[in-house]
Amino acid sequence: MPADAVVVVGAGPAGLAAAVRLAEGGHQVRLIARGNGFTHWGAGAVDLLGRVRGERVERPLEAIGQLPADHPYRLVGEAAVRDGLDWFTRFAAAAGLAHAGDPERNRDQVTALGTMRPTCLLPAPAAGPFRSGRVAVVNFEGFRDFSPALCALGLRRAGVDAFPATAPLPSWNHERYFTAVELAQAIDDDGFRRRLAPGIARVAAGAEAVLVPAVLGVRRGHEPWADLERLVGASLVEAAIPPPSVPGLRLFTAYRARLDTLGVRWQFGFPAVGIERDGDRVTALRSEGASRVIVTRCRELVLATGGVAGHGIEANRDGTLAEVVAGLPVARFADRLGFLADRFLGEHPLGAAGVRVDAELRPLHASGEPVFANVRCVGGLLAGHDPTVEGSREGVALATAARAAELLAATPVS
Amino acid sequence: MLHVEQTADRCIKCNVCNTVCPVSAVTDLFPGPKYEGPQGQRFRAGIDTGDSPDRSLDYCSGCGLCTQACPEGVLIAEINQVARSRLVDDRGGLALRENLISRPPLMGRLARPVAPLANLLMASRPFRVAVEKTIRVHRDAPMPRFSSTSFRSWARRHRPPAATTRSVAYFHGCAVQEFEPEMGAAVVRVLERNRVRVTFPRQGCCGLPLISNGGFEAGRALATRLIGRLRGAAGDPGVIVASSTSCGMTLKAKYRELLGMDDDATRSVSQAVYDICEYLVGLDEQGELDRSFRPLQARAVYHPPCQLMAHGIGAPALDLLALVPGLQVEQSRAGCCGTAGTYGTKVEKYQIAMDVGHSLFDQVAETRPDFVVCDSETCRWHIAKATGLPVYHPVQVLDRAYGAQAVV
Repeated sequence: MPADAVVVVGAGPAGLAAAVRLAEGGHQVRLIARGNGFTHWGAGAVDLLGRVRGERVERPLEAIGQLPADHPYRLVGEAAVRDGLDWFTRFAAAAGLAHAGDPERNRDQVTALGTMRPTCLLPAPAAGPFRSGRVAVVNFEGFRDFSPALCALGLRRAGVDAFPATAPLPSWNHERYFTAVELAQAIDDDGFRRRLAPGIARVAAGAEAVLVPAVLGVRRGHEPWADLERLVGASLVEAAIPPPSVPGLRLFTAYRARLDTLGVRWQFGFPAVGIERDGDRVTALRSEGASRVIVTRCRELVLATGGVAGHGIEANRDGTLAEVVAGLPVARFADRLGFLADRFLGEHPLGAAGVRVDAELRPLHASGEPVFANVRCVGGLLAGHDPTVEGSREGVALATAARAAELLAATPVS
Repeated sequence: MLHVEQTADRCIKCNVCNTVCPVSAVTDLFPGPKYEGPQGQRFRAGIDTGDSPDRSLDYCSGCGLCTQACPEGVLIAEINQVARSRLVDDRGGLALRENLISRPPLMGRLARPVAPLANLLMASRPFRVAVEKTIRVHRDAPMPRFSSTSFRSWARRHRPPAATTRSVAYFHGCAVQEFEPEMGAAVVRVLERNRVRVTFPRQGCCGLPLISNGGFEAGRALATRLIGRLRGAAGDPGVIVASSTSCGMTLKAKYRELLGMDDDATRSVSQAVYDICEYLVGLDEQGELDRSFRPLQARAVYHPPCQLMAHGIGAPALDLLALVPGLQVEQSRAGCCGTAGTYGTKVEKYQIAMDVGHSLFDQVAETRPDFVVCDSETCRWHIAKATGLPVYHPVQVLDRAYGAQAVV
């Protein structure tokens, strides 16, 4: 790998998008990640901005104005937000993963609990209408991560005329244990779908829409969903279920194929642990290897390592927080007693902890001076936003990846 | 550093590992890395006697994709390997089959004087059926070809070039020594072309087949012997190049992780080991790789073996193959070819190995390349048998592009 490579660290929504966009921009890119990221955990939609100060947002672009000045959206600007989502929509559609929606208004994504989560872009299988008429909530026999009764109950509370049902599975190679991924792999198969469809149609008789767990195929984009919908003869809508996220896996597969096509080299399974520097420039990334540290030289470094949940930020023994790769200052976390806040996934001080950056995504000292000239931070690592509480994870990832690609396009390749 | 079994505590039950397991995707006999690994571990911890909680451990192929996918740093495949060694201990040691297939030098040495005859016998259906019935090695599982000459006898006759600028020791492993001496010769030619002097320290089996079959005690004996023999080379010339991905991985990390060997000698050997492609890319980064490759008008599918990923170096062969003019390389989309060392040769697991490899074999059938490239020997044999195409080590391709009249 030549020394003029751009090294991207992290394979979550921000790292993947940044790596693809930089490679599309003609950079030699190397992607280094400790493991899979939020694609595999998320609901499989693109959240832009779902809540501000606890209130549900209907018009996310307008609501950006209500965010604090150091929020990533405010730093990169509306153009980057639009560019991020536009690019994603085109990229996903080209990979057979069409998405519905636009940044002007939020939409509902239905969950396994029969609740609605506000999101912006929905994959086509999750985007169909299900609010009017009779809705069958159908599980597949033996699948343990989805309760049709619970989902239907939630929907009825929301005023939807929903009833639960369970469709039998054709005989296949899993009788005992199976996960969403194994079921989705089976549904990739044409013959399996043909045998599956009559059972769904039977138990969903009389329904205008059929709500199913998000497992309708994983390796062949949205094709298995569209085909099964034809076979069943009713609108099929995927509900978000607990991890692993099959819609997220579809996306990950699409990213990976694109990265391979673009010649991006992967290094997977070992964390980045440090950098080498020359003054204010990072010259190489240090990552763990099987028996010694692996040194990858770089011209630019893009950190997409995530926040506390992604291990981009870890706690020191004294309760302070540290950025794990380059030792960057972590802002927005004052006091170790904050660890003891009531709700881990609610308003928790750790949620908004992160690295403070300038408008060019360069990490800043407390004094406001950039720490490095050639390091950009993207995605969940950034201070000033709480992706879980705001419902902004994919939007921030895509907008900051867009900004990073734009900034590095202006950097001369030596 | 945490002990392998302690890493189970990092598991957050997110199921990411189950999304990459190639075995649980095709069979119920293995419930998946999350259930078998960190969850099963809760029941194993502190239990020193009695049966292991789950015999499905046997069905983990040890490919390690789960460990690489885990965002939390749980050593999932390693947890299962440690647990399997206890299962084997509970059973009173390795069974006959596992003992035989885990000792390639034994088979190779026995067959060498009668290699043509042994190869005829291995190609004979009735013999393979008899082997399947008695030893339970599947009749269709690929077997390496025995060689009449060993690699070391070639190396003894080999005259190194006069002008060299640096030295490395070559850990050729059992496969090159017993079955593929021509592959070792290609490694030596490519290194010497780059003005690297190659030495051949006394070595032996690294013990990986025994370790992955759960025979830790026998594996440790081989490991200790090998560390003793390579210790000198770790000091001088200081670089040990390995052309077998899985043996290289064992030397780098598995003695420490699985066998708990953390002494100075093991550490110095493990830190001196480089995968051959990793080493060549390193030369290239210093501007010292001879890039004068002749064009090779061919199309290839490159499959990075699962064990290569465990090196943490990406897939350096891709950088090297990209230097060969005319060669078009498509990357495999499969995480694992299925065989995972000796796993796919066993009568009860052969079909699982074929099912796991299916996506790779399909991709090869669609692409119709001239040949397949793969770093690991057991993968090469498995892929060659399943696709009917020649399968080469990346260095064999470089050797040909440097002008050797050899295999490719």
